[in-house]
Amino acid sequence: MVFNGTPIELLKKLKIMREEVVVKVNGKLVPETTRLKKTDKVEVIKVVFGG
Amino acid sequence: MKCSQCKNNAIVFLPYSSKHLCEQHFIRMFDKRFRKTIRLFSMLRKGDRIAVGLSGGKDSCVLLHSLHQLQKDLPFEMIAITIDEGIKGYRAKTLDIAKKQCEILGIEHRVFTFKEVAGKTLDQIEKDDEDKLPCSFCGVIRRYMLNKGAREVGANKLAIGHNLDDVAQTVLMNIMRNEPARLARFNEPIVSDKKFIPRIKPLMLTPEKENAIYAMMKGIELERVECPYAHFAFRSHVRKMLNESEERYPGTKFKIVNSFLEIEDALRNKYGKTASELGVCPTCGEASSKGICMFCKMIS
Repeated sequence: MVFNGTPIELLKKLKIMREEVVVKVNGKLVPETTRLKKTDKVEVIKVVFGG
Repeated sequence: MKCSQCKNNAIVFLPYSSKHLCEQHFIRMFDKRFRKTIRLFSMLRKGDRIAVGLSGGKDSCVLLHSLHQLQKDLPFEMIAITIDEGIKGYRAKTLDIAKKQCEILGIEHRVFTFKEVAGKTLDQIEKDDEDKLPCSFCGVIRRYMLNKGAREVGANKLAIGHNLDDVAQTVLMNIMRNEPARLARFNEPIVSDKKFIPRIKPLMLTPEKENAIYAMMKGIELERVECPYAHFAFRSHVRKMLNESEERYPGTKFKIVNSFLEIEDALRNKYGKTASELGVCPTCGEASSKGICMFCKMIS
């Protein structure tokens, strides 16, 4: 999927709660305010689980 | 994006403080807050023997790691204890992580199982009584076993990995259930007894997501499994509600916990007066305020 915006906007679009995930761009942690480039590979990692 | 405190690239954005931080400044902020929380609530003293409740989840692993780091500056003893509830497909994975963490840090580790203490696993308890919520059983038995386990290993304090999210959730849950007396004693028991090992929560002012980021930076393995019973819990509903509020109004969790800490003394004054003296459970001999303790009632 190609997306133009920031990880915050991407998570909102995917209806994923920001508080429950960590975002890596091209394998590295980045602030979720970072503007994404067309070639960036975004990984959304769920880190908050019930239990 | 640059770090708010230096010229390095930021790796994290903290919406509640509007700060961007690089790895070095994030770790510094995290460690500083950990130590400040311990100081603020006088959680540790030289010579303490601490039992660390280690589930193998990120919060308890970060707690173990941070306490181990603190031992360089403050001499105290530490032993990890894990409660194995017997949840198929869940606990074995986190238990493995817990074992590995203890091996890496050279910390003694003891495992106590539901089966040996309660006579059955949580899976069996759930199967036997499908009408009851497994989380209420689990909470009571786990608390009982952690306390007993801490005493068995000779600890004078029990450290648990409750984070800011957990505390904010518990505060809200007690308000939503109209249980102010429970709220009054949640941070510290109103009635003390030598059989109750005092609990400390050094991560209580650290957001859950930041524990995960810290764990990633420190190379601590993250569990990727959810307890299969989690969706039963009222806590899951409150967690979702709080996370939605935090996204819309950053700092909500801190504000809830700070408000609780502001009124905690008033609550304890009010409900401390009505607290009954502790007796002894006639079945197991543990401290209990109302005859047979909850643990014995639940496993009978």
